Amino acid sequence: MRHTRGAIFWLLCAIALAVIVFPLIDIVVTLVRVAAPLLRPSLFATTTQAGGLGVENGILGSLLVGAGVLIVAGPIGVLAGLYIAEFASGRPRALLRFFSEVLSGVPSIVVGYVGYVVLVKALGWGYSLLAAVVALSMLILPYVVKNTEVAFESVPRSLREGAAALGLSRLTTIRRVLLPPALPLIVSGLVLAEAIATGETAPLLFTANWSDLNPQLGLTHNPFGYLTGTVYYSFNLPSKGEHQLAFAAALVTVVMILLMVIAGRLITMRARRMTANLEV
Amino acid sequence: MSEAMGLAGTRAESAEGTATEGVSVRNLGVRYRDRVLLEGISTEFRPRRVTAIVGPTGCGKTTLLRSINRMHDQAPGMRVTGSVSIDGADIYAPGVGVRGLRRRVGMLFQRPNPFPQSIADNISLAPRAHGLVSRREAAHLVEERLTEVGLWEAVRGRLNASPFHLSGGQQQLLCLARALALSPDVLLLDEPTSSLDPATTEHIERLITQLSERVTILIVTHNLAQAARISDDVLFLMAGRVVEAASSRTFFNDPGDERSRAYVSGRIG
Repeated sequence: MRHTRGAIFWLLCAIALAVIVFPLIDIVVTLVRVAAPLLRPSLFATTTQAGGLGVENGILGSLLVGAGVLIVAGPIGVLAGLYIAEFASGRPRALLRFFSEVLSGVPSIVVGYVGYVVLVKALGWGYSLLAAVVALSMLILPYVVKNTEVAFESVPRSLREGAAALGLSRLTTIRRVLLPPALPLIVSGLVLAEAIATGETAPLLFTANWSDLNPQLGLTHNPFGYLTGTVYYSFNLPSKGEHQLAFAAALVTVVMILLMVIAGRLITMRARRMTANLEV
Repeated sequence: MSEAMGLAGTRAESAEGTATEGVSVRNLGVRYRDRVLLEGISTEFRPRRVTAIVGPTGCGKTTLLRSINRMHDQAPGMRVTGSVSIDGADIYAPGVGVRGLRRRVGMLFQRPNPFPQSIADNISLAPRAHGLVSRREAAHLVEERLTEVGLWEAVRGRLNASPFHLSGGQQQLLCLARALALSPDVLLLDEPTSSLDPATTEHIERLITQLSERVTILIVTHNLAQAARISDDVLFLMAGRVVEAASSRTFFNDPGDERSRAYVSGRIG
């Protein structure tokens, strides 16, 4: 009886694992198979201008947006999370949490539309990097805030007490005692946010529009391309090459996200050097 | 032995500067919401002596200890009344900086809690933050304090490594060295050996005795044998009140209160 139950449990676990792993493998295999004819170095040195089959403009745009989002949403999100976890109390804290949670529930297409109405039109930025970065930042801010908040709150109380008992200031306590164990979770929040920003499409359709050229200098009034845009626009075009390009761009997007996750892991491993074996 | 001599030497210098009068508690009461944790506590902790605070679980031992470095300050719902004086100065008086107070009153917890910093930084962090030593002096201080607690030989080759690879006993010694790095006048020890093996416990007890030459030590312990071994005085609490305050000799051989007698003989606990 006990044996059978154990076997069923392991079977369910195996099924769950398969449900996660096989679709991912299938996605990657399909992408590689269809995109194969385009997978050569020139893919990265060709823009979509004049029917060009390349992802150069897409990658550059996505990297710019990713960097911009990290610069805008990173500090704001981490500071807001830190504020909620360590400084705020009572009503302001509850209110901030509430707003952050509501924000995380707003669909990305709504963020895109509001971005269009407010940033592109009302503020007159036009389709631009600035509008795209701000819109995407709103979208991912809650993830950064929540992860940072949880990261600080899950630091063992004994460490806070130890710091307090030595008369350390709040800032020293945060910087030297709480941050090291909190860092891995903060970084994973940022990585998640970057991955979402790289994979999002709807807000960019509204705020970046599209360009077959590489991104131009200038934060405003410069529509630009992005990887998910390459996927979206090329997929609908009635040529075999364009169809392959859509798959190639999707593959590059997946690989970029994978690289971000790996980079996040590496940063986390470094940060864990001093916290290994710390009982939480 | 030569180490102990060195300690005594530095001790004499700092003792002359400040005429330590120990810790004086007057009518101390601590409440959490509407629950009384301590009431009407009045007692003296003699300077440069080891006082063991004993009593049954939940009698307020740790609460009393934490009143002496104002650890209750941050806990919402905690209310402290009465006064605690160190060297004659009320630590609850308005205008008293809690950080300055905690610089002078060190604390060691039940379970070791080293910081997620290198072994050396664990020691130098607080003195550097309080501006007591320069970066160069800090390196010297690290060696001095680690030597004092008998950890130097074990860690000298890995000062920049994580403290979490040390054994529990070594981690507690590191925490003691960390507290000593601020040259406190008072040390609060909250069952510091309850999670440690007998050998380390004995080592720490020896250190406590040595340190009492220059530091006023208050130790909360569940272990009556330990209290008898290392304390000069005993404060016996029950249900948030003082039952008896006496020298260890009196407390363990001829206690004045019937409840003390019952506690010492193991009839209550």
